Amino acid sequence: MSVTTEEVRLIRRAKRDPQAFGELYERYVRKIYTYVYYRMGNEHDAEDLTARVFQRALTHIDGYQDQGLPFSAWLYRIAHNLVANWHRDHSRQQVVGLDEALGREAGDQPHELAEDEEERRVLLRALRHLPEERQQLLILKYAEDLSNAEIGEIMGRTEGAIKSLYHRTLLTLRDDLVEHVEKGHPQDGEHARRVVPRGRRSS
Amino acid sequence: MKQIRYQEARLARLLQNSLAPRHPRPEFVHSLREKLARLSSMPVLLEQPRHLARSVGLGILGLIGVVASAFAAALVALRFLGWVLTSLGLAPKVRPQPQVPDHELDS
Repeated sequence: MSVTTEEVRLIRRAKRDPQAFGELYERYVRKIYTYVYYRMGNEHDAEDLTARVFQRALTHIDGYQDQGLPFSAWLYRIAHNLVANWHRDHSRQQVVGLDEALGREAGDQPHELAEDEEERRVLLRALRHLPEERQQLLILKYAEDLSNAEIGEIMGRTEGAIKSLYHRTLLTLRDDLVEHVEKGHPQDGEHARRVVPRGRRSS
Repeated sequence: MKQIRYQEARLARLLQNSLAPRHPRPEFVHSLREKLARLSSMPVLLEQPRHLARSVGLGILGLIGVVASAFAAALVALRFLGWVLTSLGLAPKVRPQPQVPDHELDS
């Protein structure tokens, strides 16, 4: 995801030419929307914050300085800050509507689809209780399909640090699911058990 | 260890399936594009606050500079004038107050 010469030229043009900014917008709007969506949990807030990310990018692009990082790293950082501010201002975790993310892909059988959806619902709920930077890591890794090195560029960490954080995050997520079962959520228990077959804590 | 690896792999696979890329509504993408185009076609409105702040800041700094320079110049000028007058012997001499002995005051 290293910055290309073509992208550098496009950014330079975008500082003077609104048309060029439009190209950057087209290139990144879906990625930023996906990121914001999984951080916010619903379409309405995701649209609102995605719009704010690009408005802020437009008004601040004059001050953008190429530091060898991809332009998307800058956009993700804006998005991350706006989402963090939103959660701070609202002092709550938005969980409503995550179910919208489920069931969009057709399964083979209706009962398999229902089970898969339930499993994903439990997992996404656990994901949204992780600390912000861990959510960010998982979203960038899976929704954006970025490598550890690329995520490191965005989050300002080394590849090794990201790898380590990723493994710790998986363990935390697994433990959270086990705890979820142990605390007694019968409706989710079976699905959590499927995610974590014997539910043993490793650490 | 094998169990942990298995669980990690399963979690990773589930995350892969659960965090699929999202597609914003085309109407949203379109309307935001238009909004950004409108904003960017108003460079005066966008740039005005920044330019205004810069101008005000520079103005204040300039004013402080002018006042400080004038004050310093006035100090230097006064000292110089004092030196000139003293050199020419035109400076008013301060006469020391005569010391009157206490017994004279008593009489």
